[in-house]
Amino acid sequence: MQIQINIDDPVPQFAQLITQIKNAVQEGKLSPGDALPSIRQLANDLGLNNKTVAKAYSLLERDSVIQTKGYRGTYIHANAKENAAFDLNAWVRNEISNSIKACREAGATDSEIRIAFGDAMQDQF
Amino acid sequence: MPDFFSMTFVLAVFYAVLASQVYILSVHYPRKISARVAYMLDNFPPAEYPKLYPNFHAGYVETQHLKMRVYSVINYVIALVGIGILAAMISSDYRPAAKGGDEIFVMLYFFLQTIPLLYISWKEHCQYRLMRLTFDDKKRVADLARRGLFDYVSPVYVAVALMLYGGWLVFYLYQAGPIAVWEAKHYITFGTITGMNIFYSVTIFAFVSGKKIDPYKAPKDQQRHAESVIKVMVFSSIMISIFLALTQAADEYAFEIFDPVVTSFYMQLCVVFGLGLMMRILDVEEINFDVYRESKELTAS
Repeated sequence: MQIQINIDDPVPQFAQLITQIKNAVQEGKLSPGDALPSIRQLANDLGLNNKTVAKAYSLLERDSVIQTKGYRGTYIHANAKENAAFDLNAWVRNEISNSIKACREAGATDSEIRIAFGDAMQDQF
Repeated sequence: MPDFFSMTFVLAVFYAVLASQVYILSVHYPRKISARVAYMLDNFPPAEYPKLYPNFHAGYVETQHLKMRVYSVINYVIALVGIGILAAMISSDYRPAAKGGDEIFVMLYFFLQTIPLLYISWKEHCQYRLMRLTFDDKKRVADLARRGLFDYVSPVYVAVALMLYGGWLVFYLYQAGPIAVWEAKHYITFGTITGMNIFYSVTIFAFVSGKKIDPYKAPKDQQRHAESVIKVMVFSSIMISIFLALTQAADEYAFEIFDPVVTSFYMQLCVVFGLGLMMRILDVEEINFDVYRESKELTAS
């Protein structure tokens, strides 16, 4: 299976990688247990920075689409197909939209909502 | 020299091996290289495959053909020198030194033979470097499959290379004695052989990790290029270990008279399993040259 990156695309390179790997999983081109190239190998093959590929792998692992097994390498997760269908960013947008809607219905202004959101982000760290 | 080898036999073997060296290094492989370059210039011209010729200029093709003719002439001259040396040896009362030492002349002639090849290799290196500097393809393609060392070379060969190096190392350390009594030649030999194997290992690791010499090559051709380099490194390691063992055995069992034969044969094997192997794996008729055409406009995704 081949992966293609367009470095002129406004979509970040790591996001292109994530999308294509998730699509490949959902289309059955990648199966659970399939071995993926190492970060260095894929970065060299695509002529990208190691950190770009590392970020893509890190986010895919967070989403349980891939699984890193130490020195043995990186593999497609056993439940990758179900997990790939879940869009975390869409879920976050949805949760925040619902929260903003509730705050507005309660009478809060957009400025108050922004300040509260910023304070909440600060408090989390 | 052991009694069961006549001088006639020793000389016959030496002349045959030296004649083979003259032919293989100064006739056979230069012809193959010239044919390969001519094939590429004739079938994949700069006008249609500009990315393959980053330093293209007016009269480029004619200049390259002329350079290859000069390259061929130089190799034929070197071959004639070799034939002259052979003729001089045969017609004179030449006898190889019983305790060895004549292999230095074989090595010197080998270095002369490799000068044109080194020049070609240098020019190829410069061209690839220029291709990397001018590479601006926006679309990058890669195979999403893990590759390991044994995808390029059989584990048997790797095991043989490791065992032979390990065996030589143990034997050499045993023969050389404690490090405290080592002379300069011991340090040089140990350092050179170990350094070479470390260099091979680092190079192999780089290619397994996806190192690209030519940024335009299609993924399949990249893998074949990596395969050719890795195999050459592994076979070189095997051959040098065998060569060292043979020369040490020659010293041990009074076969030094065969040192020039062993040296010439070893150098020929280096070329056959080096350059020859690379040319066999990277068959120019199987390379995808479409990657060197001008890029088409990308459609919006």
